[in-house]
Amino acid sequence: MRKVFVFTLAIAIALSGVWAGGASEAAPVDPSAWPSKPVNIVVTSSAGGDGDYFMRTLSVPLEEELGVPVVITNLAGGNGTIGMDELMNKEPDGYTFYVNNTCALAANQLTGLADYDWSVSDPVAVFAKHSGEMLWVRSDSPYNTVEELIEASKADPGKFTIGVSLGGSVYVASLMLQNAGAELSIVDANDGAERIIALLGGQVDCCIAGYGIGKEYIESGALRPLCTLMANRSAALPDVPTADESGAPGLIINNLFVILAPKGTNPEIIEKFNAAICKVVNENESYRESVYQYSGQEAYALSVDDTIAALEETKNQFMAYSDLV
Amino acid sequence: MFIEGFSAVFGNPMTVVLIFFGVAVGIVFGAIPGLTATMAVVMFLPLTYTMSPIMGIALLIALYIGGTSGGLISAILLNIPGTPSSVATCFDGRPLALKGEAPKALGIGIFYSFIGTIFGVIVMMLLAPIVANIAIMFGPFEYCALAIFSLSLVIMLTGKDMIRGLMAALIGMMLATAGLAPIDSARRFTFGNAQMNSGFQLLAVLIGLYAISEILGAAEDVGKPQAQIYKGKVKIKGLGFSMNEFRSQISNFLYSAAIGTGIGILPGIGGGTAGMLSYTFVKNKSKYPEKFGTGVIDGVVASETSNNACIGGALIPLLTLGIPGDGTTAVLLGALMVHNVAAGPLIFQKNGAVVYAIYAAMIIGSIAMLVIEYAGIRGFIKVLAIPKQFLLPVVMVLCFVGAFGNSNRLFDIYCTVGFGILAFLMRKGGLPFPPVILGFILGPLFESNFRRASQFIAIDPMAWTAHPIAIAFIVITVVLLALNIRKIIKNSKKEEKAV
Repeated sequence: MRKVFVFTLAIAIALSGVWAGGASEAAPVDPSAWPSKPVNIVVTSSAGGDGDYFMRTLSVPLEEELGVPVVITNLAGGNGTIGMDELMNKEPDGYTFYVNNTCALAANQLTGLADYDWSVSDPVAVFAKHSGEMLWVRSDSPYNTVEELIEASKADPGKFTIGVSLGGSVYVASLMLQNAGAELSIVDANDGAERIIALLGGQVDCCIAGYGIGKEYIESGALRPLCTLMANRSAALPDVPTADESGAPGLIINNLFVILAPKGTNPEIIEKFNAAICKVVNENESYRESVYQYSGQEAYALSVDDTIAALEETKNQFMAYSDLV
Repeated sequence: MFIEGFSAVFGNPMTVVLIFFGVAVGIVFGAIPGLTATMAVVMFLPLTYTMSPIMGIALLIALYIGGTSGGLISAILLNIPGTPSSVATCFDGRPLALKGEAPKALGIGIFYSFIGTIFGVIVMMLLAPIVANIAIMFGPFEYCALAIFSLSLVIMLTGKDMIRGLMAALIGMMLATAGLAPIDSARRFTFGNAQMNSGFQLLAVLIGLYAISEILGAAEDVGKPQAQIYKGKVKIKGLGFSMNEFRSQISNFLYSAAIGTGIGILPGIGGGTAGMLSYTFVKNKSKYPEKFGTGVIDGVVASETSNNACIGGALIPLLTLGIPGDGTTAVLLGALMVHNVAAGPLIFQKNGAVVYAIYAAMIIGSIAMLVIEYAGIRGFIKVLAIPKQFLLPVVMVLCFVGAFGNSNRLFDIYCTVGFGILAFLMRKGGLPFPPVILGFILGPLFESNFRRASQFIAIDPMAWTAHPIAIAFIVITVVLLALNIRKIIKNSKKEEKAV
C-alpha cells in the first residue's frame, strides 16, 4: 500500500514539474514572417477592468488584421508591478506583450512601488484613452468650478475633505490640486466606486473618480463633475472643462492604455504590430463605436514614437512631485 | 419590464440551457478544491463578450450560483472546503459523513443552498433600492466596528479552546499583513520580492490549510488500515431528511438567511465569514451547543443557507451602487459594463429588463443547482469509496492547478505548500483552522478601515460621535464578550467541582 501511495505521489509531483517547466521557451524570431503563430497579450490588471475591456474588445478586429489568434490573459496585482516583473524576465520572442497604463507606470515609480520606469520595456502603442478621472461634488454643493473649490478651501484650510486612494495616480492628482493652491484634507476612501459612495454618504466633501463610475449619478442628479483631469475634454461631456483650463493649471492626469513588449524585441515587429493596432483603432467603425459607448472617449492610438513621448511626459510630470510623496 | 426580463430568460430555451450548463460547470469548479466560482466566472467572461447581454450575464450568474454551492460537496466528503464560502460546512458536514450519513448531509446542504439562494433573491427583488441605502451608510467607522464585532466571534466560535482559537486568529491576521499595506502601500514582509507585493492569496491559504494538511495527515497513516465509510448502496429517501427535521430547522434557516443576506449587502466580507457567523449564532442559541461539531444538521443548515443567501445580498450593492464585494462580483460588474449596462442608481429605469433577467436567471439557476446536485449525490458519494492513496494525489494536483490558475503564477503554489506545512504543525498543536481564515479575511478589513477612520479623527477628534451604527456594534461586542467570558468561567468552575 505504501509503495502505491509513494508512487502516485511521485508521479503527481513529476507531472506538475513538467507542466511548470513548460512555461519558458525561446523561439527564433523572423520579423518578415511575423506573425506566424498566436500573439499572447498579458493584461497587468484584473479581468473586467478598463484595460482588460479595451484590450479584449480590440483583440477581435486585431485577430482579423493580423491573421493569427490573439490570446488575452490577466496577471494582476501590485498595481501592475507583478505583470511588469514578468515582462522584465521574459524572452523578447515577439509574441508576448503586456498591457499597462501610463499613469500606473509613472505613479508606481513615484511612490517607490517600482524602482524602474517604462524604459525597461520596448513600448508598442498607446491604444486607448481612459474615460478620465473627474473631480466630483454633490449636486447641492455651492461650488461650480475647481477654482471656486480652491478659493473656499483657502478660506478654511483643512476643513474640506477630498476622497482619493493614497499612493496611486489619483493621489498624485490631489497633490497637483494642492499645488494649484487648494488646502484640502486628503483622505483615503478606497477605490473609485467606493469614493463615489463616500461622497454620496457625506463622508467626504469632494472626490476624484472615473467618469464611467460617476456618470449614472450625473443623470440621477445626485452628483456633478467640476472638471475632467484628462488633457482634453471628454467627448461625452463637452461642457465639462478640463482642470487645467478652469483654475487648476498643471492638474492633468492623462491616463492612456499602452501595449509594451519585453526589452530587446525586434523593432520591425514592434512597427508592424503598431501599424496593425493603429489601423484597427482608426478605421474599424464598430470598434470605435463600442469604445465611445464604454468610455465616452473617442478611440485613440499613437505611433511608436508618440507612445514613447507620452510615457516620458507622464513620467516627468509625476516625478516632479517626488518631494511631496 | 418585469415581464420583459423574465420572458427574455424563461422564453428563450437557449438561455435556460446555458444556465443549466453554467450551474453544472460552476458546481464542478466549486467542488474541486482549488478551483473557485471566481475562476469559473473569469474563464467564461470573455466568451460572454459576444453574447447578448441577458444571455451572457445569465451564464455568469449561473456559474456564480453553482460555484458557491458546489463547495459543500468536498467540504462534506473530504473535509476540504471547495471554496472559502463552505469552510463552516466542514464543521458538522464532515462528522455527519464519518457517521455514515453523507447522503443526509449532502441532501441538507443542497436543499438549504437552494432555499438560501431563493431567500436572497426575494430580498433583492423586494428591497434592493432601500437596502442600497444601508450600504451607503456604512463608512470606515462602521466597517471597522463590524470587523471587531466579527473577530470577537472567534471567542464564541471556539468556546473552551479560546486561547488556541485566538492564537489561530492572530496567525491569520499576521499572514494578511504581508504585501502592500492598505492606504499607504508600504511594503511589508516582501523581502524585496515583487511577487510578495500583492501578499498571500486567500485561496493559497485556504487550500494550504485544508487540502495540503489533510494530505500530509493521510500520509502519516500510510500502511494503517483505512476506515471504510462507504458501504454498498446509497439510500436516499426524498430529499435526504425528514419533515420533522425540516420543521426543527425553520428558525435556524431564517436567522442564517438573514445573516447571510445582511453580510452580502456589505461589500468585501463574503460568504465564508457569513457561514461562520451564522454557524456561531445558531450554535449559541441552540439548546444543545455541545453537540455542534459532532455532526448535527443545524450546523450544515446554518452554513449553507447563509453562504448562498449572501449571493442575493452581494448583488444589491453591485447593481445599485456599482460596488463589487468580492472577486466574483468584480468580474460580474465588468461583464455588465461590457454590455453597456451601467450599474448605479438608474439601473432599474435604464436597464430594468436586464435586472429582472438577473432575478429570473438566479431563480432558474438555483433550481438547476437543486436538480443537478440531487441527481449527482450517488455519484459524489462514490468519492468516499476511492482509496486515499489514489484520491489524495489527484486532489493535490488539482489544488496546485487551482492555486496557479488563481492569478497565473507559480508563486502561489509555493505559498500553498508552505501553508500546508504550517497547517500540519498547527494540527499537531491542536490549533483550529477556521479562526485563521476569519482573521485573514477580517484583519485587513479592520486595518484599512481603522486607518481610514483615523484620518477623520485626525481632522476632528470627535468625528466618531456621528456614527451611531459603529458605536452600537462596539457596545454589542463588549456585552457579548462579557457574557461569554462569564459563561466560560462558570463552566470551568463547574468542571473543577466535578473533578
